Amino acid sequence: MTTNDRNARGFAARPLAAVIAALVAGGALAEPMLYVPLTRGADMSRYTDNSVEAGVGYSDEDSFRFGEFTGIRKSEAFFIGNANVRMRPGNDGRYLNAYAWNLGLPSRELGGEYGRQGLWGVSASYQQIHRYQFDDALFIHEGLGSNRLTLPAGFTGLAGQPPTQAAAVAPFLRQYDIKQERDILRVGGKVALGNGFGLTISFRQDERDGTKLVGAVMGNSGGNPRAAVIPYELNDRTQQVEASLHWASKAAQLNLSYWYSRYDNDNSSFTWQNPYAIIAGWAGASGFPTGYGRLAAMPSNDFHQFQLTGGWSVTPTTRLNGVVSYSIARQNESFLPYTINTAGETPGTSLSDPNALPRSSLDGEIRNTTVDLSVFSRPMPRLSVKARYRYQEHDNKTPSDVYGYVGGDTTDQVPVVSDAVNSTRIRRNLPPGTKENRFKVDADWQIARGTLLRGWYQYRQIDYEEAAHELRTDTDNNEFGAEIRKVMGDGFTGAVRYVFDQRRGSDYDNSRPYHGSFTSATTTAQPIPDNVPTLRHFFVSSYDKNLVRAEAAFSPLDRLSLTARADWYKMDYKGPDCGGTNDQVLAPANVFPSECLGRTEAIGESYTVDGSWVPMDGVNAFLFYTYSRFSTEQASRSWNNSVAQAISTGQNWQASLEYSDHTAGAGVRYTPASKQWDAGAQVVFSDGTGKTSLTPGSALAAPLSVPDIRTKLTSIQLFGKYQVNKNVLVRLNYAHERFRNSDWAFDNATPTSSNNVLLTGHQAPTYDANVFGVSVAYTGW
Amino acid sequence: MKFVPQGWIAAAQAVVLAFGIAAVAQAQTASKDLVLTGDAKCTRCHDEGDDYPVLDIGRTRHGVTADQRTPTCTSCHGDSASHITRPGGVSVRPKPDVTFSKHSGNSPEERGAACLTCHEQGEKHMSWQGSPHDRARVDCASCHTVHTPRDQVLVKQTQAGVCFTCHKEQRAAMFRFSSHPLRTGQMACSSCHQPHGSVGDHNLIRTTINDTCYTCHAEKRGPFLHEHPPVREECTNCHNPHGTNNPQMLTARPPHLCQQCHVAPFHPSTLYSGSNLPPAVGADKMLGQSCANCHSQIHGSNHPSGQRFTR
Repeated sequence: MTTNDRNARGFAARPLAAVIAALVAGGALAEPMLYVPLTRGADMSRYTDNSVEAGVGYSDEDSFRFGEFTGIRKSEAFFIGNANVRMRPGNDGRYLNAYAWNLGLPSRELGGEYGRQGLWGVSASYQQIHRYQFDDALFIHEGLGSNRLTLPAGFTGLAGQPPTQAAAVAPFLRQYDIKQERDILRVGGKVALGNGFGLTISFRQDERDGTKLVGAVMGNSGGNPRAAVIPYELNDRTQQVEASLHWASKAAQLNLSYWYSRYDNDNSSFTWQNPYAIIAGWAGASGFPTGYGRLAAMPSNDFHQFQLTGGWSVTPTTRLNGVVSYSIARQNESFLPYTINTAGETPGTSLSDPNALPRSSLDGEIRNTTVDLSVFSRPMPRLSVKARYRYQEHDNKTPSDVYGYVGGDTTDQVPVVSDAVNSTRIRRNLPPGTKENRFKVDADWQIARGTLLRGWYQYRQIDYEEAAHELRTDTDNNEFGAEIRKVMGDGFTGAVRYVFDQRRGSDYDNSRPYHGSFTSATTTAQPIPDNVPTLRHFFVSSYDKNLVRAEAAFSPLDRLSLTARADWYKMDYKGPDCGGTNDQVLAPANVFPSECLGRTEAIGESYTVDGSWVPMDGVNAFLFYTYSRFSTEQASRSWNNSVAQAISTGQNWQASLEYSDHTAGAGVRYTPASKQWDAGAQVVFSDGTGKTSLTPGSALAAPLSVPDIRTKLTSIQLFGKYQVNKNVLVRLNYAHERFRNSDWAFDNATPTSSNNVLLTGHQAPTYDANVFGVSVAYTGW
Repeated sequence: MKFVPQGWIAAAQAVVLAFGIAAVAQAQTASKDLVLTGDAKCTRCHDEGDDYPVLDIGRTRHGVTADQRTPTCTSCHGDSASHITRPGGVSVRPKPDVTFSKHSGNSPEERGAACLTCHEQGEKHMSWQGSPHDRARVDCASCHTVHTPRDQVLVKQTQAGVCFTCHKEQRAAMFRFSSHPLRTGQMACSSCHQPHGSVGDHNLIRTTINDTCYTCHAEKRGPFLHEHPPVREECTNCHNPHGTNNPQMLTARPPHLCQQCHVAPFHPSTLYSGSNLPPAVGADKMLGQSCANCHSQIHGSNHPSGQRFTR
């Protein structure tokens, strides 16, 4: 054994992952119906052997939530159909693989591949994914599922806010399923061209159909909003083509790829009839029955990316990797007019003639450039070093123009669109763009046998100079990390990591996007930006982040493995510069206090203990428990556009949001020595809580507490199979799921519960589902 | 102890070794390759009746001898002369030169080298060295099982179980109220992540977080006339793609999530609370889709009047 070998053996024991994995891999741990395995060691026979499986399942529950992705959303029987074929015809390396999964369920997939290993291959697959969202949502419109909704005959309009209009609404409410279907077609091919060259081509088409909920707004957004939540028609497709030419030798590899993605929306707009009778502030005849509203559908767009990736092993211990990528995202969908109610969706609704649009379409374009270079080297057996530089630019070439926008389809436009007009409805679009430079050096050093010390430093700078959309012109991150990892024989592996990350940057200028987007007449007349200037956007604000991670794997017995892991981080957004000179946009007598508003703190933590045990031959068991928590603190100030309130700390309020969950699972499987049958069980319990705690300032009324959001899932799976003879096996499955959800956003909310919005009335879902399945598989031919 | 000249001992050892090698050679001559070219020296012992059967390799891609790239046993495990000959005086047969089990004496680099010799030439693996998994001392065999006909981590419906061996927080997240359809097997971890290293952060399959999301959510790519800066910056500013107990995988619940960035006068900065919930008249900002009851085009609007993402 060489010295190098001895040094290397200090880390002979496997990482934490493999300790459990090796124990469990000896037996099949899970083959529950409907869901993926939770651990390594799954029964792969269904994917390995030639087999055709047919059977029948039955669910006793009507629930969209239970069937959200599986499609088992009704109390009814369903077909169990799976197939797997793996053939190697001839001895020349040809292969033929085919599969079909969940044929009897709405979410299903089939596909196959054929080729000659090492030379060429083709593949194709077709997948349907259904998502069932709500089966208890109520609507008053007709034409549901289309892109034009009208109101039924006999409907007389809402003469006031929804809570006063329950009687007018009730006769017309009807249930409509909110669901989506995604059909995915994939076709691909690859061929070895010789001399180290290879070509790979793939095509993917995602076609979506269905509806999702959308807020149909009629009123303007500052005084008299009125809206209805209605189903928005989805009818679109995304097509992607990827082609890559690859060259490889022992020492160097190059890959030149092209990725084209095109999104086509069959709908350019979505139109609905206004259910609200006209109210003060609305113009023309924009109320019921003549008024209509319209929103722009997500615009069709396309994307091209060219990418060159390379790797070069300069020496046996040093490798260079690099990527140069350039892409263009474009969108040029024709604009809708400022409002639908101009030429008159129906006669008589015309509002004032709007100003002409500055352009008929956006001609939007973003050019992205990425350069990523790294060198990785092990100059000494005990030392490895990686240095990486990354440059990324989002060069937004989208034109910036002035738009005299109409707040809602019920309002008039400002008469004149000019920089000299004081109006918040004359705005310039601000295409966001950034440049990022990042450098990281990362080294690990084996300081003793079985002890590895790792450290890294990363500098990251993001430049927002090119676009006025952000509150700062640049941010700078300095991150330091250290980790020590200890291996003690085969029985114990442990690691502790600490990371400190600090973000600073240029001075805040809350008026930057304000001055960039609003007219000079507006910003002169209203010196306070559209947000209180001591607000800090958390995604650019200064912070200090501390992160600690500890993990350990322990195998006290050859057949018992235990792991524990703890992750904790805290981000303190309380920068030192709130209320500074840049935040003082009023006369000196009116000083914005030094409190930072916005997110002030975030804490994330997760703790897991996990074990696997093989108490005897043929028995595999696992157990895990995870506690996770994510919380934020935020500060705000409730104000009404008056200077007095804008600077008053009495108007402040704080919110603490905390989302935590406990997840525990256990499973056991028994396979006798004969392997003629096996059986197993798996239980998972998940209990999540969302807490909202509010603290008002002295000038605000005491709020009522917000109820907790609770999400509880209990999932029990029993499964087994019996090998009747060499070719026939029988599978039995039972699944029980109990789901409880309480959510203040939906509980007890009827369609007319909200003051300005006609809701759907759908409730937080609950279900108790029992699913049985029996199937026969013919295998191994 | 009776003195024995060292030379005699060495000579005796040489004779024994010579007979041993001759015997092995004889045995090898008598044995035929069963699966791979030159595997006889291994499969004469490691047949289906052995404690370490290896013949299943013939049911894998590594067992296709028609593919000229196909390795043989020693390509990965080394020549392993001491394992084959079992030197005299050794009670326990030495292990092969390179092994991949829990009790392997080889370093991750040695184990990885056995795979990278061939696979580093593949377009999906050339960024492995120095990648996050490589830096975390995860080697190929930590996730892949080479001798089984179907590798669990390569099958979409079973892959997650392998990833959850380490990524336990993500396993828990899968059971939350809102998550991608991973639990039901419609997606796999590799739908978004390239575990062998990539140009993207977090081992993502695309250059950026957003480009990865746009693979399936291309309607949000834009560019839009009216952009929402945190959306353009990173989807994860508001969403946790592994799952949360809030609708749409939001990291926190609106309206308070939105109010972490919006302190404009009137309703954006108003304190909304339980006072605005039924049986009292509900505030439109608390019920249903919350802020998205009106600002439903929050990912960007292409409407000339969509400045506030309402249409």
